[in-house]
Amino acid sequence: MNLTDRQLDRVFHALADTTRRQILEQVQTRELTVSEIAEAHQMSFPAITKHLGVLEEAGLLKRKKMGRKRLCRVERARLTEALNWLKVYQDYWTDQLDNLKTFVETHQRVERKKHE
Amino acid sequence: MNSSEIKLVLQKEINAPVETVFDAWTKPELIRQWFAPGSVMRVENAEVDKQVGGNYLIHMHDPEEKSDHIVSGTYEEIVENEKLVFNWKWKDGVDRTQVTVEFSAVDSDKTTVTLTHKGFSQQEFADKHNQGWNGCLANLEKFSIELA
Repeated sequence: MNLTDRQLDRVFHALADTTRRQILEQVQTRELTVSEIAEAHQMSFPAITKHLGVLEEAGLLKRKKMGRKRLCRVERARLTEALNWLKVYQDYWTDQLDNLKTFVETHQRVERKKHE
Repeated sequence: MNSSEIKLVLQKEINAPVETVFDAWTKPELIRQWFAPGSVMRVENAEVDKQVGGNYLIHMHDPEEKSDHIVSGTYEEIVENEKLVFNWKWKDGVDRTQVTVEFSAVDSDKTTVTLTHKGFSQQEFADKHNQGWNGCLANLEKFSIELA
């Protein structure tokens, strides 16, 4: 499934903030409560709730009720989808740098032989 | 949006002196010989005006798909044998992104190249989709992408 422009806008807006990226990292390994996240960032509850709201709207995070607690977990699929496009460039430049290495190292051997 | 952004960082160690590697990025006759991804594509034309504010253009051709890929931009910073900063725009694309290539001599015969690509937006992503670039992205599981 491809994300719509509107969804992508939300995802990129959500990712363009250090605190929100850190939150995503924190909930990668285990689900955390809102207060645990707030504590880790030394932020007020309302401030962290606002960040969580942005992440949730972007579909990057899910909050669910567990008794009195609210647990947050990452929506990995959405993150993967949104970052797929970066993978295009990652593959591109990986190929390019491989080419560069092969070319430069070969070219150099040829140049050296000429001078011998 | 705050000032932090998404960027792609790659590094490669090359067994050659730093001058040789720098030349490969800045001399058109050398760019022609390596600057095309994969084994099929080739560089049809490369033009370089190596000065800050000068333009470059690289025209890649895929003989199998009979398609042309032209990228061009302007040099924003040039430090001989150390650093190149240029903006990057595909002919059919909308976005102008930015590429930084840093060259670091490990010793007289070994160079580390660090490439940073940034300034992406959602539009760029949409463009890539339209160009049908991402044929093999379905099974993405890991990123070595730096979210900085």
